[in-house]
Amino acid sequence: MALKRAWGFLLLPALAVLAAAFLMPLANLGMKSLHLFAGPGREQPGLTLENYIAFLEDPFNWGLLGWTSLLGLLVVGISLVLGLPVAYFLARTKTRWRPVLFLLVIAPMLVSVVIRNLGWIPILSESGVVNSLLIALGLVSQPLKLFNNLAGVVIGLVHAFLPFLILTLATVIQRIDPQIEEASINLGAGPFETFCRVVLPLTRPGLIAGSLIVFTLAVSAYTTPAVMGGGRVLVMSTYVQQQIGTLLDYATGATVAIVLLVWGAFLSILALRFSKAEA
Amino acid sequence: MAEVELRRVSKAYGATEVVRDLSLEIKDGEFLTLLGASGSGKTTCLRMVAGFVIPDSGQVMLGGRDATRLPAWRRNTGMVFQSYALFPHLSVAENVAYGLTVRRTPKPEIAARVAEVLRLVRLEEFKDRKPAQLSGGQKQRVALARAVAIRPEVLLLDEPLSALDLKLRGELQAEIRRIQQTLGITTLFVTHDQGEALGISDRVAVMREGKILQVDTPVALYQRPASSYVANFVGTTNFIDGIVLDQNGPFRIGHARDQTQVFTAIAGENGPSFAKGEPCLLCIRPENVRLGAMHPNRIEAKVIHVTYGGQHWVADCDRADGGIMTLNLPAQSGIPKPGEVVTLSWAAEHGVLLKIEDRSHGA
Repeated sequence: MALKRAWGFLLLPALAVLAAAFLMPLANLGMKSLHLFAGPGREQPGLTLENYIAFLEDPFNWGLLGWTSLLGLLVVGISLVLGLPVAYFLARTKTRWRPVLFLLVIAPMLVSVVIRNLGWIPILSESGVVNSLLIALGLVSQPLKLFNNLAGVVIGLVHAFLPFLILTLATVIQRIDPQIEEASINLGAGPFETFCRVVLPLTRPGLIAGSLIVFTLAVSAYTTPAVMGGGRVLVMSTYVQQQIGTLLDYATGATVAIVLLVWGAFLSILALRFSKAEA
Repeated sequence: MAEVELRRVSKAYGATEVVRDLSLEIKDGEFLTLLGASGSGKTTCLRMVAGFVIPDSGQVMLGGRDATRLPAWRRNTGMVFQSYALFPHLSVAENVAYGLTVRRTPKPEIAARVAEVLRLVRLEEFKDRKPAQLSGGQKQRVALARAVAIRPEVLLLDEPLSALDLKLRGELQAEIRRIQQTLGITTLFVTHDQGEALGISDRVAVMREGKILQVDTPVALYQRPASSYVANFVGTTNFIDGIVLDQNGPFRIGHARDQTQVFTAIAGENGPSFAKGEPCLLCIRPENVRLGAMHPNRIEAKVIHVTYGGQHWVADCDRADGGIMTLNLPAQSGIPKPGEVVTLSWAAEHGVLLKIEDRSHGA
């Protein structure tokens, strides 16, 4: 018990940092959303919910929320398709290069987000590697637009958040007894059917947790949509930046940011409920 | 149901030869056990039949057809794993139905078969439970039911009892044998437990270093071991180093240290031939050694200690040649005191003569 209390004290510095760096700005943001806009950089006195009412009444905002969520789902979907086989391989391989492979997977996380995005330019631009290759192979006649648009944003987000998904899934798959897969194969299910009937259902907690992480990261990402979208892709995060950074409308920006936060939290709770009910 | 045959199969992992030029035949409906220490290659052989291991050379025959390169999921073998390997997300009934479901068997037929097999393992009332809600013994019975539900050509049991406690192990052993007999299913059982092997099998194959040393009925294996390794691995044995004095008629053996001390003996399984003057190993089971000089083969020994074993006393005695003689004494009989010098004797037919192959009798 004494030990437990001692540990409690050790938590204090972290709590203090979190409160200062995270909770206070958030509270500040929350307060800003409760005041009405009164010209650039200024707000009216008196607390009100009118910003939220205005947000909910404007179909543009609903479209933005839906569009941002759709982008999040797209990133999750592509990440799942790309990440599942990699995660399965990493979880089951016996090669001694395993630590190196894991390092390769998390490599994108070690690079600054701006550098990571800029690195895509020579690859995705109109005269970049991908387009040169596609044209040389005769697969396309005109270069594809893969940058400064939605495609670029999706590519950038998948690249950034795929490691989270792979690591989450690999951890879960590693805990599945390989003999369970052998039992399925022994009973007449081929490798693909075994994957669908046994591995996938048993990976469900990882699928839910991993998808949730990628989704919340994707809908709240700012730098990647801004850089890879070339200012042409409007999602909630870039919209917030427009309101606050360009128009100095703190009230609207804060309101949109809070809505995004609540939306993410709501989906997280929903998904966790869902996964608990299954387990 | 079908016969299974391994024809001169070999398997190596890197430089390690796990199975070496091994041949084995399991008859239709037979219960055959692969018995060996860990690393003897027994599990690799079982996995070859299942299709999880492809031999480097040789053939795997299932029901007379060459199945060497047939993928595991097309083989129709039913395997029971050491760790049960039940599907944790499926109920007992769904686990048992799994093999039939992937075979696209019609639903009513699946239901009937699942009910029938669950009745066979006496788990009807557990059909809606999840594996996590079952005891170890129940899990293993579900695993058994799941394996036989597909009516496999051969049932493969990979140390299925080793995770269970002693009492449960005995019960399940009887259960497996009963089910195997009821279905008349060809069965390959892998274990390192000689008691299990002797108790459950029609025939036992003793394996060592990727080879089969002897395949025989449990009785023949115990009474007429073909090598000192088998003699030592299956039950306990006393060994005496000897030299063949006369190989015509019943063998006459001189003690290796003192050839005036003469024993009579019989040859082991397949009656290996011995030359006059050849060194050999005389093997006598503890239960065949008597206290006193009532039998013609005698040896003097000093009692080290006597322990109570329930059904009988077990006495360990020091021989003049440095070896140890272990014998079983009836529970009601008088027992010698430690330090007492006694005469031990045994009948000629209980002395089995073996070739000297190596000196490591380690089990």
